[in-house]
Amino acid sequence: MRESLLTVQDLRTYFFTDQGVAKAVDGVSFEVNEGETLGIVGESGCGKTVTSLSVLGLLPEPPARIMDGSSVRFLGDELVGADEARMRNLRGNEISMIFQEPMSSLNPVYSVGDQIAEVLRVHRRIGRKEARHEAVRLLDEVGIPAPDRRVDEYPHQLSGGMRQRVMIAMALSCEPKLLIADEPTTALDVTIQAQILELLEELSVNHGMAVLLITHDLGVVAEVCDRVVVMYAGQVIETGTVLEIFTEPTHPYTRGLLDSLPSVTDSGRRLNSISGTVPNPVHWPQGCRFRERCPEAGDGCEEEQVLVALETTGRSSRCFKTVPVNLTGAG
Amino acid sequence: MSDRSLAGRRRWRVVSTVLPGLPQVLMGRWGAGWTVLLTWLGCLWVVMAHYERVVGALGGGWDQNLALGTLVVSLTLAWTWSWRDVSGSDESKDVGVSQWDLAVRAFSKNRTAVVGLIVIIGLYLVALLTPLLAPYDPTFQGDLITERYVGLSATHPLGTDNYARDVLSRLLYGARISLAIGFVAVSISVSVGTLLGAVAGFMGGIVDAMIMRFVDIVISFPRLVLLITIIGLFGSSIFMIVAVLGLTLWPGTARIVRGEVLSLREREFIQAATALGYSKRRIILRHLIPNALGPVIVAATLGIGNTIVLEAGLSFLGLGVQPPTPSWGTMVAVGRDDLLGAWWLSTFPGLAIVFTVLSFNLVGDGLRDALDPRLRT
Repeated sequence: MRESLLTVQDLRTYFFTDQGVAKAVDGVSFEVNEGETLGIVGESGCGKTVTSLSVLGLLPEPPARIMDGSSVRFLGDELVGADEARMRNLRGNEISMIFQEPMSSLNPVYSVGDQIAEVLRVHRRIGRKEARHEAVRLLDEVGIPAPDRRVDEYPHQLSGGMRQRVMIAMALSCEPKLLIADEPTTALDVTIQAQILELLEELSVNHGMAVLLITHDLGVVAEVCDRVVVMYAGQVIETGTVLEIFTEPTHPYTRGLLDSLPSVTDSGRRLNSISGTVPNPVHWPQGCRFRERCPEAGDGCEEEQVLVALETTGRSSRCFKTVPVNLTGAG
Repeated sequence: MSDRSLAGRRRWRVVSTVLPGLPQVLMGRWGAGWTVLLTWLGCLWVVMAHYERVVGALGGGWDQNLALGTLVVSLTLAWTWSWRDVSGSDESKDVGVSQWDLAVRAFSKNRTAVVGLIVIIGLYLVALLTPLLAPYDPTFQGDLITERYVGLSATHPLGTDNYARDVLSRLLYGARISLAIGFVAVSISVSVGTLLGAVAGFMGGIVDAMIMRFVDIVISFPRLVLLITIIGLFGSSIFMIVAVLGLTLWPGTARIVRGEVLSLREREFIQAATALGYSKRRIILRHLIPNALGPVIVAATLGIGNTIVLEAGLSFLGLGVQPPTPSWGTMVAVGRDDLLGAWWLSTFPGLAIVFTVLSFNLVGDGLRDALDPRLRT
């Protein structure tokens, strides 16, 4: 079988703090195939962001530590424990990342053109003029009007949506194979959100670029993703295609998430919510980590749950109750 | 720049050719206008009043040639700037408005600070042009019997001292010493302090701890005692004073920069810079330091004023610049003995110190307001 673009296997990222060891990411596995858009969904504090930062090795060590046995492979190359020079060459070049806050993700003292040009000059080693030319072209590509004027503007002169577009232009400048987007639309208002998502989708198709989209917004997932990984308490609890997750969620947590979405057809209904909050990563509950909040908890839930592959390929769930009896090949 | 544009007005260009800066002054852009106008008029006056000396300087020593160079450069700069501004050739000006542009705008609205800046620019020009401006050599002694303690007069505008030397000439040459010491010492301390502070703040951990403990050691050392010891060991020279002041003043800057960097480090654009694969060196030099520069510039400006006072104090105590080299501190110290009989000896250098330091403090305060986005309205 061909190797996926990005393969994360049994990733464990622990934070060694004064309060104890916070197991923010505790054995996460997934893969991103070339050109596809994978969504990672979950509540705040479930380890989505830490997972994405671990992939690029961006977490400060200490306090964070990627534990032995974790593996992150990009095109067959092991990234856990790779040396700093290799990682630097990878970041922004082969794997790019965009962040949640476009307001503060750009350096306030340089014009946007300079900032895009800098990425190119660092990774491509091209001349000043050529880089500027390329910056204008990229700004045009991400849909900024009058790019030859905007290129000289400073971040504080641009709106939030514009800045996110500039961030995308920077991330795109070296034609990366994978773009990690950490809640790229959370800080934007709804109309802009849709535009940015459309842009991301369009760019990923045009450039054959895979996107790892991290979000807590199932609406966003439905709009752009091919496959979904649902995370809870530092673990993957369900995987599947968007259609499968939305039509036949197997894990009670996923069902809870879907239930708390407002519905167009059923207006006037009180919105459901999942009671309680994500438990403390220093003391994950014994057994099923969702047990305390699960409406269906009962006998057997005090057992540690494993991620089980379901009959359809690429489908898996971490709840023993929902696993059909005629399962093929438990994982 | 668009609201009060002077662009495209022919008469302004004509005025600007003869008196650069005047259109800007008349249009209410005081800071830029006065600076250019005064620079231009001052330089012009030097050329007219000291024509022989200016021409003679062509064959003179290095300081005279430096002075001549300053003259030519400032005349050209003032003229070109004013002309360009009036003719409005720079169209892209209102497209990219950087943080610095905003700060410059905020600063030029602060009248007192602008006056301070004009005084400082004037002082530095005077200091550079001293060989052409000063009526006498600073160490030239007149007739000791008839020309001692001459009061204010046409030949000696600020009188003469106990060795029959011209006070004005000594004052002007003293400006060179004081301003140069202030500038060089602060340059050293700012460069060292910024670099060490940024490295400490960004790297954290053991590097941070080592650098900051070193800072604590340097700060806890009494500067005066250190100076007296070093001067006692190696003798007093301007180089020594600059070196000691420069190498004892940097911890303040280092602390400021470290504090700034600690908060900047958590900002997302620094994280983004790491995610773009930039090296640590690039992040520190190109992304952290420019963002931490605001408070450094303020501290540096106030620091120059501070250093000038320090140098004057050292010279007053006899530890600084040694006679017969003129320095404001020494002049105040020497004139103190004759204060009742010849008041001008101490008064003028004293006033010079006060006004210089006051100007630096005014500019420093103005910069603090202009560079702090929270205070900007």
